[in-house]
Amino acid sequence: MIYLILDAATAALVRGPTAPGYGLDPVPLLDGSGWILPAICATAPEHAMHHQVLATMPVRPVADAEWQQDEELP
Amino acid sequence: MIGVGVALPGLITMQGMDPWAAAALGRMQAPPDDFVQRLDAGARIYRADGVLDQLDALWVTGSYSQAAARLNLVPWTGTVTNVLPNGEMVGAATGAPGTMPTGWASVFTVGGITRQVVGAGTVNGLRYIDVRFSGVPASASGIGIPLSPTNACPGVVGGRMTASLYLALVGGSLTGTTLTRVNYTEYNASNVFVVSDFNVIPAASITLTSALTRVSGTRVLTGATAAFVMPALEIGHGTGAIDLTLRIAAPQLVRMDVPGNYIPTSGAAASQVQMLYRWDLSEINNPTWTAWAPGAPGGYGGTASYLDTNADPSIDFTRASLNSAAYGAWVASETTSSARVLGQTNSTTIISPRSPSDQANIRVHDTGTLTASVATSVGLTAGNRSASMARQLYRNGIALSSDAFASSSMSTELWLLRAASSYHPGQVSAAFAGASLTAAQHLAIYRGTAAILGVTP
Repeated sequence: MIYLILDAATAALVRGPTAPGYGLDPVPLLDGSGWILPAICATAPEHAMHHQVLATMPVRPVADAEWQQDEELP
Repeated sequence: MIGVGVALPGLITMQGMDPWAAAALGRMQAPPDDFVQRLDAGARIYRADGVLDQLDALWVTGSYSQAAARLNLVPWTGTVTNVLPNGEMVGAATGAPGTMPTGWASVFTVGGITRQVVGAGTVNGLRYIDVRFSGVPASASGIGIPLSPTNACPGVVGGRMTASLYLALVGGSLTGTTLTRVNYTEYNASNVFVVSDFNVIPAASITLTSALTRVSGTRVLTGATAAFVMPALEIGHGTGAIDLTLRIAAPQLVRMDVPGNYIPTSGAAASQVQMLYRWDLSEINNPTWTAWAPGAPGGYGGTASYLDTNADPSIDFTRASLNSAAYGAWVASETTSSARVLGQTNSTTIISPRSPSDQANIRVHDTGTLTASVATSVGLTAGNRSASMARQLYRNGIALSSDAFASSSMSTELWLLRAASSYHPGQVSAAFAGASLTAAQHLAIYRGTAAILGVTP
């Protein structure tokens, strides 16, 4: 899946509600190199307040293993 | 219109319908007949076994519209407190510059801007003031209008605070301005600045017109040492001339996820008992929604995305408690994953419908995991806590396992499709939270939810 790759400052900037009932919460990459958001967040109308900055972020495919942190369960 | 978080004007009783279903449908726009019939059928099953009296929340995400999918269908009744001490804007007086309401005096402007209170009165039962700002700003900045003193409104880290007020543009124009929004500033017990929270009422949600319109926004406070929170209205501007007159009415700040009905205050916080719909779902990071279809319940799924219930069960829920609670989630997709379809930051309440080793896992206000062997993730997986040392795991209304693990704490948030940093890849069609359910009630909530989702039990 394609994700936006955010630096820490941008992740902090966009985190939070963007419109009533909508919000952004960037997910950290496990290697600490950045934060991700689904690519659709860059164009979804409810996040219009951040479109300008999100449009400048690089995008690339990211494997689940790069960000998913499952606690081991039985 | 009955909107999100707006008080019910009274139960809407459609002819012959279950009153709970009728009230829930009253919040939806143009529900199709088949959905109406399914919701009514489900409600009757819930009601027959007393399920509705146990629930704090029920979300049917497998619905006919994305808006309906996000609604919590269970109303809440409780005490609402407007912590802003001067919502009635006592002390305001017109003049040049006039007098701002008591506690609002610290209006911030850069040089070149003149502030003038040009009106004060009552319209449609709401007290208001009209404030004019005009001039050529010395620099691009923002006008800040505090809605309280800095140390008047209690607010601590983790507190979910909703600000609301009515706004109108009653004179001049927006020429020269860049935005209108409401921000919070958090202060510690010594009245020292801790942190700012910008865009609590987002600029994108405020459209100033001549009609007095209510706007609201919610933010969880983040300052570790915060003791107070001060909301402030900001009008951004450049260096061009401005001349606008804002009407401000009925400001309110409450510690909950919805604005509630306005409660007048004239020098101190004030409270009312209100019946509201709360904990509608927020979409975080654009989870994918699929509409219900015959044989395919639909709902929300996605990756690196989730649904925030906007609930703090530890203080918000009136039926669930530390030693009496039930949480459940209906998963429509066959998904094998260690991730949870329901959870929160510290994973003390989780639903994991099918792990890679074919186990369902639950926690209910505790730190240990109760498991049961399952062959599928599809259906309603529920965790129940019936006592401080008793919990049970249900699948489709049938008890699969139980143990005597001690409760530890209630969670302070509740999410669907996420727990901690783990995001469930499946599709959630419904979820519920409330007090402990009996075995008969677990069967009833399964059968009732199946009826709503059009699934044969």
